[in-house]
Amino acid sequence: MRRVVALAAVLLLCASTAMADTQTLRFQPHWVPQAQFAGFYLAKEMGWYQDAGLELEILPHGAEHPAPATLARQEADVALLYLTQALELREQGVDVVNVAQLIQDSSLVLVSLAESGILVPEDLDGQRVSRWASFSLQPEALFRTYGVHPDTVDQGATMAALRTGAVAAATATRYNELVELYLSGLDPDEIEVMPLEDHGVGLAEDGIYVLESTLRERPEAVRTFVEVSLRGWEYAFAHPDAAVDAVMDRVIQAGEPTNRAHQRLMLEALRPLYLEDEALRGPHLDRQDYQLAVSLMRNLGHLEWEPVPYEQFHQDVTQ
Amino acid sequence: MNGRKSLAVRLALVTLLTTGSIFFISSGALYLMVRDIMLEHAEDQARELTHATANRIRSSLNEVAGSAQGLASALNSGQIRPDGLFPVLDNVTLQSDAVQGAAVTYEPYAADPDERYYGPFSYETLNGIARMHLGGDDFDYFTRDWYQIPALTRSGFWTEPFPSAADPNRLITTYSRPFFDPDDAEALRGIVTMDIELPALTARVDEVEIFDSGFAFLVSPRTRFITYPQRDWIMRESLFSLAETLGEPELRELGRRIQQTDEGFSRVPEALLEEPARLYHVRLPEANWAVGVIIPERELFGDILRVMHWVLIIAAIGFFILLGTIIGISRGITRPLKGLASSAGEIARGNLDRPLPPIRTGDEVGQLAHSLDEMRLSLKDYINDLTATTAAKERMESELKIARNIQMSFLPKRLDLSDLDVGIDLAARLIPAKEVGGDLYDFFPLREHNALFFAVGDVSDKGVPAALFMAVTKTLVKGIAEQDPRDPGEILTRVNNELCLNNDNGMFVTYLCGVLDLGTGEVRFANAGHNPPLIHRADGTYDWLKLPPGLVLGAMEDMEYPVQTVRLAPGDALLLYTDGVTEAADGEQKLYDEDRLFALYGEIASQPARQQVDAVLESVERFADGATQADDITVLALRYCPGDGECAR
Repeated sequence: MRRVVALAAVLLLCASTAMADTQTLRFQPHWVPQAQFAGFYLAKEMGWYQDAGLELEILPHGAEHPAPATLARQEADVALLYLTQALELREQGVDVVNVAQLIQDSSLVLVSLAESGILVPEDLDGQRVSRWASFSLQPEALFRTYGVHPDTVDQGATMAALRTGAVAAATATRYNELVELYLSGLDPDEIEVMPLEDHGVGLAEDGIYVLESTLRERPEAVRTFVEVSLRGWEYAFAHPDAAVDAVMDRVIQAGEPTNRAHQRLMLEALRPLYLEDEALRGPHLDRQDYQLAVSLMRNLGHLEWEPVPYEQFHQDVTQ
Repeated sequence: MNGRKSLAVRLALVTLLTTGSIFFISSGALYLMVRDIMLEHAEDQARELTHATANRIRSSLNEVAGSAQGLASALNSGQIRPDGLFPVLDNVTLQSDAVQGAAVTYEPYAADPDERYYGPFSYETLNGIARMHLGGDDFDYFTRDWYQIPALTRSGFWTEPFPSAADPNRLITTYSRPFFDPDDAEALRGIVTMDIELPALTARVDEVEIFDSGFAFLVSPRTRFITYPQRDWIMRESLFSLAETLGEPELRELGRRIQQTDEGFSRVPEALLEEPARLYHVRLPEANWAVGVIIPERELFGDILRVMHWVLIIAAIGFFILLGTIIGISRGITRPLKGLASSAGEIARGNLDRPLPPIRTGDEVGQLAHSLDEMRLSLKDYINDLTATTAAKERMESELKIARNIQMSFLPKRLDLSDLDVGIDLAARLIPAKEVGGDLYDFFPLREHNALFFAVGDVSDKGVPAALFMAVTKTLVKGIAEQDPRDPGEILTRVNNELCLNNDNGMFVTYLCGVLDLGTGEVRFANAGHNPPLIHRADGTYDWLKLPPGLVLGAMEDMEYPVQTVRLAPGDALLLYTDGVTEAADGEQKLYDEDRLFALYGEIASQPARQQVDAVLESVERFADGATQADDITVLALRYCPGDGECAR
């Protein structure tokens, strides 16, 4: 009965607005298909979005589909972004809103081969260090904090430069590049990991972002998306095999040259970032995390505008 | 079997266990040795094949690298201008079979001050050479491995395989080499890349065959499969990812071994092929790739396993035959043994009539059976003999008993002098050492002469002959004495002569006799070599009675026996005895002797005759203290007490 009423309400809503597809939501993940998005894949595969009255379209994702740009161009209704990416969008005048923070900590580390003896940030001075151009903020903050001047180069999509010795250190996420290094034959004792979190420059990462206008116009759709996605994540960690199955389907469709072992290890590396005591740590964005990001970015000159107030930036739609 | 294993089973078990152990140890050792040899052969074969495959790939790689180097040199020397590159690249791609694409990518603004990206790229298509420009906002080639790594390291680099920029479905691997400013050898200007399509390389690997199911494969530096029979692993799985997915840490070890050694022969964990296998790998130093050849152990050891299979079957049959033979042989041994055991039991129970089971074998069992049968027959004969002997002995004993009875009946029981009215107290006893004895005593009244004859004798031997001799002597004495009793010497002379007749056995008898005149108390003694008697006078004195000597009866004819006359006063007593008394021995061969008898007589002489006899016998018996009686013992006591009713009784 309730469903009939809801359906009627939705139909009424459809009829009353100019857009015919209010139920459709386009979602832009911010990297290639991998377990980083397992919760979304799984929820979609289980049909939970559909059950909740949402036609979720997961847009093609990867290096060629930068999420900030897609969101800014309104080619996507919802996007996953790093906190810094979202703030950069704000800087560019795109009014993005964080509707759910998924990863509360930084998974970014600087990694080097153990044989190169880089143990503390000071050891990086004069060394060639690679970092992603789009995520240069935190490494730069680290270098500045410790007053070191490495020879920084842009980092590509593989860790081959580190393995071949072309660079002395590289940036890595715990869930992807560290796994890649492990799966390319390096044992944990053969690499040295320097977590940014340990040096006060770790920032919150994956969050769900929409434009302010979207949230204003379609709050229910956004709320539904967030709630179902959180359920998807809970389910993914409870059923890692099913989650990896869903990921591998996407991976193979997209022709990504990754493998099940990598995705499984990635999911396990994500677990402590997402969960605490078996419960999701999100979707709330901590005010201090927001302020740390803002101040880091302002200090490094990445933000010139006065940042938007926390209350405006983060709106927990599940509340 | 009553809980205990029979000999046959024990024998079979022990033999089978021993031979089985020897067989398994030796065939196991053989198997291992042959296996090692085959493994070495396989290793040799695999090494050869792997090197051959690796060399073919290396020649292609080297050709590509050579082309890139040539182009880089030309660029270093400034012979080629950026805008004149396409024809050169077309030419390289066309000229070389190995090169399927060639590009030169420049550092930012190095080729054209207005262009951040400059990357002419020629590549083969089915319709000939095609051209395109690499680089753009969505293709930042500066961070690509094929650009960045040689740019940073300033040396040549082979990439991991990746999809071509021209066609994502074309998997290529690229050799890239930096080139520098013609005027400044330190200033990097860009990167030369030459592509080789994977199918062109991998076809050579896929062609490799070894045994029936052995195959070759190629892995990248990360041990990612570039070729592999399992197609969906290609470009996706590596030994490390499979180690995780299959939960097989040994695969990871194998991967690291391949990464870290130039070549080697390793065991492949079962998880990879779902069967044990061996891998020979050779690393290609240029690209850090590795060629591997995998041979399943099933095939490697197929021949030896087949041989071992047959060895085991033959061994199994052999063991059964051996088992049967052992059981047969041991049954052959134990069956007669069982029969023998049963027969021996019968023999033990005394049944000697049951014949042994027939055993015709000439072996130890046959000999045993033969011996047992002989034993049975001997026992039977022996027992028969024993039975006969025992019967004979019993008969003899019974006859001896009769003889003893007869002998004893010869001896007078009681002196009947009732009609003579004279006081004589006389008692005598004879205790033979055997059933019948050689001693004798005698007494009888001579009524016509109012006299009493008494005598004691001892035949030289004992037993039946002595008894017979004694009987003869007694009979003769009595016969002769009754005719004329006055001279006992004459009696003995006549008896002696009779005994000497036909005395072929040389037997003789000592004999002491006396004739007591009942009226006067006068005793006339004659002695044929016998012990002197003891005499006790009524006044209490007593002594040995010295008698004239005479030769024993039966030794020599016509002997004279002097007579000595002794007058007995009323109350006097005589004790006659045989040497059975004085020579009675105790356990230590000490003799009773005359002194002891003499002393004893002093104590007993005034007692009635019967008590005297008993006292002497009792004393002797006490002295002997259980020692065997060696000789007959005879004692005769006589007391003369005329008119004394007390004495006569």
